[in-house]
Amino acid sequence: MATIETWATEKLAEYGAIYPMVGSEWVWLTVAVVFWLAWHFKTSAAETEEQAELASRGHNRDSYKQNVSEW
Amino acid sequence: MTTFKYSKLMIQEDCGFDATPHVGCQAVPRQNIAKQAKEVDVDNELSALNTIFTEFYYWVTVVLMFLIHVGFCMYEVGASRYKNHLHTLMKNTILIPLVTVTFFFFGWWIYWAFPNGPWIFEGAGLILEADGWGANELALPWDPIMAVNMQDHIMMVFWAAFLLFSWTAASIVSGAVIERIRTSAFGILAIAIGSVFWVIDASWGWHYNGWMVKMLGYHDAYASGVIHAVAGGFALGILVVLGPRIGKFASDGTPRNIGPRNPWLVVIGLFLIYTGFWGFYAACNVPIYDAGSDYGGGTAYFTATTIYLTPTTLSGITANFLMSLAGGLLMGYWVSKGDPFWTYSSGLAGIITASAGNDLYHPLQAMIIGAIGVFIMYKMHYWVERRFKIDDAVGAVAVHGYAGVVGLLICGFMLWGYPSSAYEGYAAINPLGMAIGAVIMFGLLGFLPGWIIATILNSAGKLRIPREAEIAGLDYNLIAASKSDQDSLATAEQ
Repeated sequence: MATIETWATEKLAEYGAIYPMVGSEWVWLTVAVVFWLAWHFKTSAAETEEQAELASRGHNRDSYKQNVSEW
Repeated sequence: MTTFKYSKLMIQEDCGFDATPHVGCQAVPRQNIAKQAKEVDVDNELSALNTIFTEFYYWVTVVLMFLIHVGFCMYEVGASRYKNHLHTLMKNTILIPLVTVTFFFFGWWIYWAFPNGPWIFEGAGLILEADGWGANELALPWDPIMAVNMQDHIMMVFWAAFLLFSWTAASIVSGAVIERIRTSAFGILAIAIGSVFWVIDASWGWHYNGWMVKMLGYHDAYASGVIHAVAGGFALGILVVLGPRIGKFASDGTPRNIGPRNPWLVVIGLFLIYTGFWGFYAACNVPIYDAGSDYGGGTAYFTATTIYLTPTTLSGITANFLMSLAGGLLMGYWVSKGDPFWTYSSGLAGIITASAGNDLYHPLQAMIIGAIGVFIMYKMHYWVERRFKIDDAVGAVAVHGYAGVVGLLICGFMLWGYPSSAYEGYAAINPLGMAIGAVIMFGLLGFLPGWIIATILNSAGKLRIPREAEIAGLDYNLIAASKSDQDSLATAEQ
């Protein structure tokens, strides 16, 4: 796992990338892109559902005032 | 890329970063260290110091610029009505991660890929020393330099500074569309302006090698156009499709004022944006650059430069920032008859108007230019509102878009004849080039893509919230849940 096993070396100045698993960047990128796109689809669907439900109740402009808490 | 060695540390012979010999290390007498220290390459030391200072400099600007976003969140929430507060906050907040990850995925690459305009203009190699479109492999998200890398100390902090510009561009748009846009639609639009379109314009006109700089003599030192005009134009393109909030206009077309619900939050937010703007100005500079050795006749001359590597001073731009702020505030107070919302916004608009040329203006010029920009943007806001029924909830199109365009146009005249670059073959700054630049920023890369994307989203029924939800308030369910919690707790307490 470790890219670097010692800092005490005369080759310190020759080090490049020092994060773990150098060379696996494509794997991480793929996971990140999938997560990002999934976020859009899931949250958009949830928003559609929430607003459709809200719209179906027939609230008027003052409805929310009945729910204002004292907190 | 910058490559350097920590020469002073290297002489410690495996003793780590502590100059004091300790157990496990080969002790080196202090006098020997001193002797060896004198022998190290002075040039390397200066280079290392310059790089570390530059790294820290940009890091500080990023922290300062974070305040811009704090300010935008406060400002938007203060401008929205009670029933929409939390959704307004979350809409602005969520742009942070969305623009961040996409700027890592492709935004940074775009900046380095397009200075010549893809397949449009021939030009020299990119700053990353590769040739042509698509060759800037170092800015790709899988490149090892895009991480903790001992051969580079600048890439990611420079990336971060640009990222904070990206947040700002998206956040400008966010304020204009509050209380009726779907958060998911705004997320897509935020990515478009924050990680694509403003980055393209920066590549074209805010890059020392950009084709607009070379061919048009475009000059925009502190981003009147490349951030503000483009974001303002983008917001206007969305607003045309999105439409006004319910009740904004009477049946005869007369606009109604939906004033800020919490003016205190609004003005404190704008104060924070001012504060973050300092970081923005600093981040637009290269803090230490040997202009003399590069293009100044060979004799070393260190100075701060703009993004174009043309010289300026932090001292001078500090005065110009303050004087353009002052000019904007004075004119804003005057023209709005002391309205706090517009007076504070006008301070921002004053800076934005003068920003294109604030690397070179006299402070008094910056002040007057700021005041002119505010007068025009204020009048434009209300004229566009009445004429085209545009509901710009926070005046973002005016403060950023119109003021930014005015700033570019004025800069073209004020700096007419100045070289746009220190290098050979670049057009001088001129009014026509700056006017074309303003059209590109506000229209081509701002309004047009905003309008197109919003139209697509609208066609799919994904742009605007349902009318009934808008009337009930976006936070209805959250407010109801809070009430339910309170009632439940009250029952338990009895």
